[in-house]
Amino acid sequence: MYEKEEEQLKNMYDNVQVPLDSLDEAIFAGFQKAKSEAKRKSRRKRWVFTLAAAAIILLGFFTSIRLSPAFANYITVIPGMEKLVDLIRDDKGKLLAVENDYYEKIGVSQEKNGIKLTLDGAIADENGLVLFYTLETKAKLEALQNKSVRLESLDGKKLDIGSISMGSSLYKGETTNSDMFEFYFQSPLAAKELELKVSVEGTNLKEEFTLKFNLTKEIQKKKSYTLNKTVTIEGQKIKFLNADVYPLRAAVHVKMDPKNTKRILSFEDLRLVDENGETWNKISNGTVSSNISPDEFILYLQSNYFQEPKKLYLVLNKLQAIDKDEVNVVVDPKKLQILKQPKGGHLSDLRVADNYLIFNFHTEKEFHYFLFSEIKDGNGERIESGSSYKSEGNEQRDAEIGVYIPDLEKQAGPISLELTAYPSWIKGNEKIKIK
Amino acid sequence: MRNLSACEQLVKEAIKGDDSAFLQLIQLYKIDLYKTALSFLRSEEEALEAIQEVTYRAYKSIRTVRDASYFKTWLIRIMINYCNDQLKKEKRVVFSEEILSLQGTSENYNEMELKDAMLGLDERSQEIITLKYFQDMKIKDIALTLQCPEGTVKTWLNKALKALRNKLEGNGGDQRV
Repeated sequence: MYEKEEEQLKNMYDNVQVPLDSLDEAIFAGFQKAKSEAKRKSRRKRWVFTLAAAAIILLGFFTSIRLSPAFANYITVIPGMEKLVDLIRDDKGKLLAVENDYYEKIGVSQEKNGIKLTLDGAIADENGLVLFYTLETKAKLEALQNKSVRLESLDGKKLDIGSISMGSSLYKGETTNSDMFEFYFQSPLAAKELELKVSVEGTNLKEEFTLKFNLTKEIQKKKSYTLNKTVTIEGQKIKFLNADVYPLRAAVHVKMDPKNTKRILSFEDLRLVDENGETWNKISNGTVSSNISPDEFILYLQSNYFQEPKKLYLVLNKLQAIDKDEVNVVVDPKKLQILKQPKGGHLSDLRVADNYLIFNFHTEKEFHYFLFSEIKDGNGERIESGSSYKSEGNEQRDAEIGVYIPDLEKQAGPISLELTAYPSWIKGNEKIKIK
Repeated sequence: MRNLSACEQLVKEAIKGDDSAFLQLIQLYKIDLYKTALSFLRSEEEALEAIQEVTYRAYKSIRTVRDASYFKTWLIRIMINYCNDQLKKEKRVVFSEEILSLQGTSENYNEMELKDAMLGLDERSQEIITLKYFQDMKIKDIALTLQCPEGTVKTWLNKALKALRNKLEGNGGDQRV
């Protein structure tokens, strides 16, 4: 029918001359740009402060999921949304929240001495508050780090903060960085008028920003399910008590049998699966669980709150577990020796810098977890660490782990670090019906 | 003929982080990428910039490739997205300048007319013509690239060709020799 046109279209591009040399230059330039950024990104640390229960942090820099075509369309019509979607690309729950218009635009900013902090928007539910922000500088600075992030209620309603994730830093040569502050609460969020205080520090510079804002969207109530099912994997008994699904994340409450021979560290591939096989995995960059005790966890999954599945299951095949007598890594900070660590010898090269205990951590495959929770000194006294980091190199099989120990040089005896994650697994095949 | 399985092997290595495998793949498809870019952007300079940006984007998201056998469509898709973004950003009207070095004229419409007509088409029609005639892709693969049913692709393609003909006849009907 359109043979004539078809023929011509085909011919047209056969005739194009290709500037091969320039083409290769362009490819090389693109490749170089990606390489230099990969290097820089691998050094980016995400700082997480836990105020209450011990938490397991999973750092996933490179994970990503594909956007549905409908959603891709949706974001292109809203200016500025690409930036936001880039941040939550690896979290289906947050993407769904945005897609369902549960994201709240804020647009409050403060500028001080050429540095501007803008609170772009928020997603809030009973259990958490995610604030999207952009930090901009007029001049290229050496680096700018978020030193503290605080949230206060202005309407008299109590804020019961459990954990704060402080977002990443602005790095050398950058003039803008967008990220999220994430707050999770121990009792439901009721405050609507809030104040965010952020202090940033760079070379010879320190600024504090105060941003007042209101949450106006009605907060969606959680969906709760009672489970009470016990599964046994390689002889270890695990009871699933209940599940609460919030817009920002789903929380699954599990309890281990105290008689288990192994300590379960992490429910590595626990996921929600609906009747169509659609899957919601664990939170891939942030807090993946709160540990009430070594035998009782709240596990966090990406939320399917805005989907209404007919059937819903929890599925798991692989858990991180180590023998109960191997749960502590013990180090001598004076002699710089690792006195005890589990089988496998993944930790090495203990060193000390700026009150940080620093390890090299090598694994066969990528392992994105942060390793330690409670830290004790030689007398068995708990050390309040405050902050820790893990930075992953390009290869991702080698990472550096740093744990902050106040007055490290005064620590005489061996320091004991309790493991919350370790590359050692038990395997099974379990499916638990939620609804 | 390209050896498909060797290609898939390269894709797998590239996903694992092998830089030389990645560069080999880009080399393999650079002509296709360039021609796609040119069909949307129409200037050599911009097409080269597109190559640079798409190389960058592909490297950064290589780990999202799910099926090695569709690497090419994945790559072309990145290019098309980039081009569409560029066109939206600039919202420009391009007139036929001496942009491409082309040889010969065709029987009925000359190539400049054809190009102008192409640029006058809506985004989807341009996209589908690019994939079908410049990339020589099968309807089945286009459907996969655009994530829609094959029937829809056929409908769109027909509409695109019809629109193209209308443009050509409307614009240059009496200039034809």
